Amino acid sequence: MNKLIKNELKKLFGKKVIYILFIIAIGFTILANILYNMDITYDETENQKKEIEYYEQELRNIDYKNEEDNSYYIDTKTQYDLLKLKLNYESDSWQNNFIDSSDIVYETLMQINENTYGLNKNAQKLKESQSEYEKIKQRLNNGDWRTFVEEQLKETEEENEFYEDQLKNIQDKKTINDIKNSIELGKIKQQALEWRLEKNITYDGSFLSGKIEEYIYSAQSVQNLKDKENKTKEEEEEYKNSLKQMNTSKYYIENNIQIENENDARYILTNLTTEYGIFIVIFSIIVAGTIVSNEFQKGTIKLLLTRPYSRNKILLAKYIVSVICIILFIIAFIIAQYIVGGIVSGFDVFKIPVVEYNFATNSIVTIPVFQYLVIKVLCVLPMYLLLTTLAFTLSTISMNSAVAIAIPILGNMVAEIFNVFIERVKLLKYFVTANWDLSVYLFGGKGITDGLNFWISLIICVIYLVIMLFITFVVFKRRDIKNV
Amino acid sequence: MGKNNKIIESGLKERDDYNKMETEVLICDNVYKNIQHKTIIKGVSFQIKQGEILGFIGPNGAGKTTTIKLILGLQKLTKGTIKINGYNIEKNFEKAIQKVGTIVENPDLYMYLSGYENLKLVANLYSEIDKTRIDEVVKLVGLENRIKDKVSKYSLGMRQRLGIAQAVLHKPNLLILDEPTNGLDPEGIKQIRDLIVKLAKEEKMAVMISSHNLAEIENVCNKICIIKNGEIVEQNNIEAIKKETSKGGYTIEVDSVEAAKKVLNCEVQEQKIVVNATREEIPEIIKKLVKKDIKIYSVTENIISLEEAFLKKTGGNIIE
Repeated sequence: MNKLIKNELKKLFGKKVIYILFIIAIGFTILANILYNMDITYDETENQKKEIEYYEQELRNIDYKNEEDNSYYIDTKTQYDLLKLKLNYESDSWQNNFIDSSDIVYETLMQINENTYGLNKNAQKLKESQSEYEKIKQRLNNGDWRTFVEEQLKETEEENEFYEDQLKNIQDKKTINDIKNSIELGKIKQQALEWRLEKNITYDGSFLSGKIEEYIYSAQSVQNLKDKENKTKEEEEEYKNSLKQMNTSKYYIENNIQIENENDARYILTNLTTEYGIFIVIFSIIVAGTIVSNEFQKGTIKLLLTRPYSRNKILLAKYIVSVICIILFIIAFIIAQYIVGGIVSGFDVFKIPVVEYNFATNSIVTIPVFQYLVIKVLCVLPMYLLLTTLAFTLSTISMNSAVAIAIPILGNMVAEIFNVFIERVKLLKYFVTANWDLSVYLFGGKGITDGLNFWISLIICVIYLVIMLFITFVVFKRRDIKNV
Repeated sequence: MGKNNKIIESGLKERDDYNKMETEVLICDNVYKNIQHKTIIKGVSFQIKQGEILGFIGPNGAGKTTTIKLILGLQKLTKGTIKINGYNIEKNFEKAIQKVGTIVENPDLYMYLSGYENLKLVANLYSEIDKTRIDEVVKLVGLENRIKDKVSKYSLGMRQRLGIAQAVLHKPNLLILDEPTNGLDPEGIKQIRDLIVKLAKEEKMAVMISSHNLAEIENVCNKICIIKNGEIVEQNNIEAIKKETSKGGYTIEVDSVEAAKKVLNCEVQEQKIVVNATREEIPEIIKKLVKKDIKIYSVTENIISLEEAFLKKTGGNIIE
């Protein structure tokens, strides 16, 4: 048996095509890493200049004294001023981000314009807002973002105090709930601002700054959906995603984990099965789809079958080699990604553990990159194995490699479509495509549809596998070797 | 069918049986094969003994290759039994095929591998083949200089030789060759022919050759089996077949056919006469002719070639 396997491997690695596949794997890895690592934050200054020109023209055309156009004029002027202000700073500076994300600059400019051009001008108010604006500009120029944060924090705290006070006087249950909700939302904002001060996280486009924004967004979404009854499917989905995002961003911020580029080599490595999955599948299908049919097409099957080994052993050896090839391709991509990614992004990125949220225990899980990778690969292995086995079965039954390669690849492509109809056709949940990706069950995740769990899916996969292999072995054993 | 029932199933008893028969390497007993309700092979029976070379001849479509495939277990029997070295090919395949070497239809080789790698693949499957054996066989078939080249660069003749090399690598005692000299040059044909004779003699190998080239079979085989429409029509040693089908007689070239006709009971062919006589009668015939003053230029024995015998036997194959 070992001798047969050894021979099959020798035959396989005697072919040029296998090396071409490996070269494609390496080539694609390099391409992916370079593309993912390209600096996609392009300089916005050019666009801003064009926008400014557009606004200038608009302003020239509009008469602010005209009552109808007045508010439009003020809006446009404010936008214009805001852009002018942004031009003073680098496009990836914290100032630029701050001007965009915070209301305070926009509102101040608005007030100035309203009191300059507005229908209800107020000289006193104009003066106040102008001095306010000067203060803002000064802080922006001095890089003093902390004061902005402190001010916002104070504002939020005051707001919450005000709500708390209100709560005492109100009896209406719905209003109480609304106010309580507002308080929670305020607390989220407060938390984010405190983090900024505590961890010294400016408004620049850094990873952690982004995580803070992400935290606010997702935590608010969780807050809004948490107590909602009868959530729709989409809301349920959103709730879960937000819950995960909220907890993971919190973890990143609290533990001060800095990731320079989120789409770096580490990201590709941990998502290897989705990034390179199609290649692994196609390569494995090519091997399994030709390993039997080629012997028939070239007539060498007669040579093989007149050796002192039973047909079952010969076929089993070929199947084992097909399975070995799946693993080889996976390993090849892992090694290629590790080396190429390491060169592009630095090998240190692989030391940062993967942060996941477990829905079953409601806790954060951190896993070393390679351990995570192994788990992921094991979870999608049923899919790879089933597609490869399908190719192997077709290869044996049809003796035609084109058929044996094309059908599984097509199957892989339309699998998604099958899963779309799963809600309408309940029986489809027992179809293999709904079950062959076990990674949905990771970290307390639920199956694609109700009534499925890890073990059911696994058993369904095993049943499909056994049926295919049974057919393959029976057909091969009974086959008369006809003239070639 | 009565015979079939008597077949002893256990491998051990088969072995005992084999010991009794000893020299019967291959036994085909009343073999039938149906393909899609059509009977392709109809009760074929024959044996090959140690050291025997059996020529398996028949026109295209007679069932030569199918019979070989049945013997090799490549196709399933519909009825009958085939035993190799005492083992039933269907019940005890691995043991039965152990000492069989073969080329079916074409020498099927992995074109993208070198000749040596092809042999190595075969060698890996048998425990007893070492490097020296491979080198020995390579030398035997005369491929020493090109054995490291890829098979795709080989000529048909070289492939045929490599095919024979992979067939005899594990020292089989039954060699089954389907058209072994196909595509070889005359020199190559002679070499292969000599090789087959040598193998049969030295290694006491039983050989079965199917071929359409009758001249080649005539020179190599000591036994012949003629198959027609899936049935064995003749099975004997070569001389017996020749004798049986020979019209024999002698051709005598004379100056006057008419005169000779008056003296002898003979047929006329142009300026020659053909007499149906034995060797011993010839001097008497010559005397008679000389007495009548008929001039004799030549006397030749009519030797029939196997090809003629073959055509006589088969009388053309009807493909159903």
